[in-house]
Formats: sequence, C-alpha cells, structure tokens
Amino acid sequence: MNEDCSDRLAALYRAGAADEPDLLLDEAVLEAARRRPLPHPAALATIAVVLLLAVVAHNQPPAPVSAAAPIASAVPPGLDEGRSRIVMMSLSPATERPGMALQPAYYGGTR
Amino acid sequence: MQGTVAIGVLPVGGSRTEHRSGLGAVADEALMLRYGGGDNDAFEILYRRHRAGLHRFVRRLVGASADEVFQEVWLAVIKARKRYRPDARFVTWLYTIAHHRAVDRLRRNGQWPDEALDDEADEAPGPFEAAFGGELADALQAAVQALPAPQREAFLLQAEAGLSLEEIAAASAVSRETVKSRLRYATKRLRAALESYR
Repeated sequence: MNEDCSDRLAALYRAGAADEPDLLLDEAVLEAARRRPLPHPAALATIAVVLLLAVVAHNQPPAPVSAAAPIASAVPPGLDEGRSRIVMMSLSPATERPGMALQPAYYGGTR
Repeated sequence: MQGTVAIGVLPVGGSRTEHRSGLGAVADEALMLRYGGGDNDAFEILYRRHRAGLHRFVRRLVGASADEVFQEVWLAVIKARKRYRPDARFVTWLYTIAHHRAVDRLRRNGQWPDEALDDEADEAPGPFEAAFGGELADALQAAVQALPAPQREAFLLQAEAGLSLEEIAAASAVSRETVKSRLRYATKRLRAALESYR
C-alpha cells in the first residue's frame, strides 16, 4: 500500500468532511449523560418494603382495649351525637335494618 | 435551561466547559475515568472532541439511520462509564462500539457482506464517474461513499478517527492483514476515482 497516497487521501477527505450532528442530537446525548443512574433494583425493593410496612403500621387498628376499661371510653369525648350514632350504626349489622341504613340522618350533618 | 448551556459549549474551539473546568488538555482516557467518577464536564469535553468525526463515520457507513446509531453509541459509552478501563485508547474503544452498532444495522439491511465475500469480491469500478462534475473533495466524498462497506469502514477509521492498522483491526474485529488489504483496495479505488483530476 502506498502510505503517502493513503495519507494524502485521508487529508483530502478530512478537508471536505465538515458536516456535524444536529444540535438536538447533541442535546439528547448530553442530557442522557447528565442523568444520574437509577438506584440498584435491590435498593428500590428495600425502599418499597419499608414504605409498605410504614403504611400497614399506620393503618393498623389501635391496640385492644383492656377488659377492665369501660366500653363508653371507646367513643372519644367531644364527638357530636350524630357521629356517635354513625359509629353505633356501623357496629350493628346493616342488613338487619335495610330501611334504616338508607336514612340520611344516620350519615351525619343533617341535624 | 441546562440544555441551552450544554449546547453553548459545543462549537469547535475553547469551550466554556473546558475553560471553566481546566480539562482542555486532559487525555480522553482520563476524561472518561473522571466522567465515571461523576464529573459531567469531563463527558461534555469528550463528546465535543469526538462528536463530529464519529457522526461522519456513522453517517458514511449506515446512511439514513446515522442519528439513531450515533445516539446508541454514546448511550453505550454513558452506560459503561462505571466499568470503563483504559486498556486501549479511548478513541479505539469508541469506534469499536460504533463498528458493532453500525455493522449490526448494516447486516439487518443486508448491506454488510459475509466474511467469505470480503475484499477482493469487489474489484469492478464503482459509480465514481457520476461525481466527477464537482470539486475534488466532493468527488472523494462520493468515492468514499461508493466503497464496499468494509473498505469504507477501514478508510474512515483511518481518516476520520486516526486509528493505526492495529487499532482498526481491534475495532473491527479482523486481522491486521485484513485491514491492510481493505485499505489497499480502498486506496486503489479512491485513486482511480480521482484520476481525472490530475
């Protein structure tokens, strides 16, 4: 191979090759380069489990009331009568009194 | 806004990022290692150095899908940032990735020959004459474009990326002798295409 000729051809080629990538393409690549990698899947799974446990703990019913405590204390003081009635209704099987279950008065705010 | 800043540093010459970070004289390999360590400025400089040449290389090889392949190559670089080891020159590594992506694309389109059909199979004169009405450089561009893909790639790796025979061999996963042969045929054809300009 004629090295000199090859070099001259390469130089000539470079002189005539001026096209460049589109600026939008540049932006896309640089944006991808700036993005931080996502956490490892195991770390993501750990975070998900911790969140789930936190939600479950938050939604758990309060600790059982001791047998010695009076039942009345289950209804917090300060609740108005309407709300108390709703609480009481929810403790009764609604299917036994279908007509009453549909009474708007039992859903509070109408008194 | 961030994107605007990034675009602003791309033109050739001393860039704002280069000036700000003082990384202008740092070797490609060190920049890539710095990028792996979280330095985004290092990547911007690396990208600015190689974007034009790599894009031309890919475009001359795969044509219309060049932007897609170009992006794939850089995304592969980005993805590999943590495990990058400077065993070879960065540019060889970069064009090795580009070779694989481009050849995959060409194979899918039936435009990359089987090994058995390589090199000597294409001795017939190409359509160079069509380009002879233009300037010499334009004619050469057209002649390069008309080379068989493996010869075109070898020529571009030498002319565009400045790779040595050994580096071209490594990048395109062939022997040094095959590279020599491809370059010999490419040079022969390009010379023939430019004969009428003498």
